[in-house]
Amino acid sequence: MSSPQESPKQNEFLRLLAEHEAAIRAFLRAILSLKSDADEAFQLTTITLWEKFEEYDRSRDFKPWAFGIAKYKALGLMRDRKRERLVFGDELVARLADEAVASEDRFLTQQEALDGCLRKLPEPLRDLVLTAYTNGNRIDELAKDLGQTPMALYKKLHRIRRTLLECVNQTLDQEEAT
Amino acid sequence: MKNENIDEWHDLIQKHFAGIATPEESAELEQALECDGELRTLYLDYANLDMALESSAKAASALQEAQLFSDRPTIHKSNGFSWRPLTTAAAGIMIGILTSSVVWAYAVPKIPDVTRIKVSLVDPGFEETSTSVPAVIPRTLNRWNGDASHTISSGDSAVEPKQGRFMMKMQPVEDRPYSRIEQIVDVSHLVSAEDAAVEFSASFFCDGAVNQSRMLLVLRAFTAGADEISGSTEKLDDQVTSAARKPVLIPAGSTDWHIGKLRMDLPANTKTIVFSVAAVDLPKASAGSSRYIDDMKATIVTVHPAQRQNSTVEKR
Repeated sequence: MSSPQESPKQNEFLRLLAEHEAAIRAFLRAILSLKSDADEAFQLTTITLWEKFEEYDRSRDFKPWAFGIAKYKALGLMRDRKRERLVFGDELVARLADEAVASEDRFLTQQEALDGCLRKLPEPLRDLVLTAYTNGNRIDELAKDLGQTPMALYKKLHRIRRTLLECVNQTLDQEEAT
Repeated sequence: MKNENIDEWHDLIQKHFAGIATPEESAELEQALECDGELRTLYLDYANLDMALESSAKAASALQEAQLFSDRPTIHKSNGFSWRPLTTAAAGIMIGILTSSVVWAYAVPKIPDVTRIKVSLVDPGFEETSTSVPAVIPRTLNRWNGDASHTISSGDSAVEPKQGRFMMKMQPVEDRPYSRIEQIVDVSHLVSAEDAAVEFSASFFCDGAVNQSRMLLVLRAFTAGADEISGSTEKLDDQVTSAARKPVLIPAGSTDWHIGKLRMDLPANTKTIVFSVAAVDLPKASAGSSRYIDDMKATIVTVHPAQRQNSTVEKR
């Protein structure tokens, strides 16, 4: 454990990380596709951010610095994964990364709109999608518990996600119009 | 992005994120993403939605647990799905980093050489528990405590127990959206190693439910001794070292027993575990729907010391 003198530094780091965690995670998810890879890259990114926090120039924005490290970690993980399965090419990943950084404000407003869209969902569908996203729940096990095939459950979740995304974007359009 | 193909792109992107797209489908998506800005926006929107849903699920879980296991007599339902419990998440990561001195370790994925030790829950099938379960407070070791629930024999219900002659019937509690039972178990003789976990399972039956029913498995581990575990649930949560929960959804009209399972890593030197099960949003007895619990099982899983030494740990 770090010494008490380091507490302000930890607090500053935690504050900055909390402020940008959502954006970093969405950025990594877009690049790496698989949740497990994105989670691993986020953990590696967090460690490196903390290790290098002394080097962070406080006069500059935290976000580009953090995204730069996240991108570096994601690309490293992708190189490892390329031996195992098909992942997107470096050029596309770089383009997605740039567009994800540029879209951070849009992501934040989408996330705020999601709260309202979840409330609009019928309760059984809301329960289902939140249960599916609860940590540790596997789709195949959940499908078995519900007496469905995994593919039927995947399709149901696809429909719910699409409904939510359309609701979120409609909400954003309405807000823009007003 | 051509509108006539929009459904296909929605499906393909989601399959890609779920990891179930074929290599050919992922290649097709990659090719389209390279030259279609609108499709890239849709792709990034799905990535963001996925992350935001995960945050909302975490927030909803935390909220529900706080509501379910509060000892306050009246609990108001909230619709608060906030995606912002991120300070907590970040703090959790930081605690992990700082307590491990910035050493990140993971086990090489291989079949572990483990010991499985059955935890002797007292009366796991409710064969010996007296008709009414004693109240949760005062918390008492090695027996079932609960909220107004009682055991019922096979002859008293149209439902057959999962095993033996008796099962637990969960009864609604006034002014509370849940009913629970719990057992406090001393596991100090079973857990010493760092690489240990507990597995907990229970069987559930929902008779005559016209809506989907929700049961909940909860584990709390303490490095405090079993005799120190007392007082309100809020006090318990101040002492807890590690906790996990898992909802089990049972479809309306189900006529089968459903098994719920929960696994949680245990902190080194765990001395006490509280095993809990809750029935959420129980309908009133007059609604003709009943929920039953039977066949509780718990196991401590420990990695052999030799295995731990042989495991590859990478320092970064």
